Amino acid sequence: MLFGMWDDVFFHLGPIPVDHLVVTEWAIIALIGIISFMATRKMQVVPTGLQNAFEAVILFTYDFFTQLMDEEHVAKKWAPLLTSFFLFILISNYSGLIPGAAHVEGFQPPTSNWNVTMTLAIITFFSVHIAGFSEHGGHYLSHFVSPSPLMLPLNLVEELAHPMSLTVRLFGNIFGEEMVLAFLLFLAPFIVPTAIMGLSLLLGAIQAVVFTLLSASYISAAAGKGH
Amino acid sequence: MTDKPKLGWVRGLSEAVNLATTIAASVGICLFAGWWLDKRFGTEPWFVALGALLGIATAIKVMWDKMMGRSRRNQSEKKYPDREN
Repeated sequence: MLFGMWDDVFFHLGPIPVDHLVVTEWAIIALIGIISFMATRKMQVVPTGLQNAFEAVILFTYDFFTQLMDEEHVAKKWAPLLTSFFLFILISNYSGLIPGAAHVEGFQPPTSNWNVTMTLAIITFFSVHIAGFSEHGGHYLSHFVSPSPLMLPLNLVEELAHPMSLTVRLFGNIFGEEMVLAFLLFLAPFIVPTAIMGLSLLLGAIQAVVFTLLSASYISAAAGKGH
Repeated sequence: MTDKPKLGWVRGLSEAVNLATTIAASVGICLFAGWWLDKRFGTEPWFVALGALLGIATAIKVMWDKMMGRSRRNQSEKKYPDREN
């Protein structure tokens, strides 16, 4: 089967069926977890090796979100979630670039399935409102009737459009890229798909950045002083 | 926070990429809700029409908010070139 659309069950966890996609996600989470554990196992004041690399990544993302979000304490509070999003989406997008991955069950990018992207978007949706309520309390609700109570339906639709937009964009880009790659592999298995794979490296990174950036900007807007 | 560098290109990229899909999602959600309500209550095509109007209105509002936000930021950058917006 091609195009990263596996619906078959890999094994059962009690009464719950677990398909290949979930196993791939677990593998990615385990990979990030193991590298994080190894990097932080023997923390030193002067970092070396993996700790050094990880500190560079964490400092870069922390600075990035601090610059992007209006409130520094909000950035500090939500940077771990946003960094996790970025790493998970980036590795997920790249998992489809392993040679022959499109032909092997369980190796298609989890982000090429809309269930995964919608789950990430729903987490963002709840994070946005948690950030809003934690910063403004009940007053946060007033932004739904801003600038006039007549705007309530439009504001509600906009709030629902944000996670839908995040879902469709990430899924559409990665699924489309997988389809193009699979067709090219079918038509011309050698050399030709390499150009698209190179482009996929760029596209995968851009989509990971865009998803994370938009999540950060939604959280920042909900927690900002404008509300 | 005062000396933090600007990330204008990052904001610009995310806004550009976001605008199209948010507009499409607004219209899509409203049309789907209208279609579902019409099917549920047998009122075709009223809820779909209402959904289309609501979706288009939301899309215009999203665009308007983005334009006004960008315009305010540009004005503020001209007035206070050293200030981060």
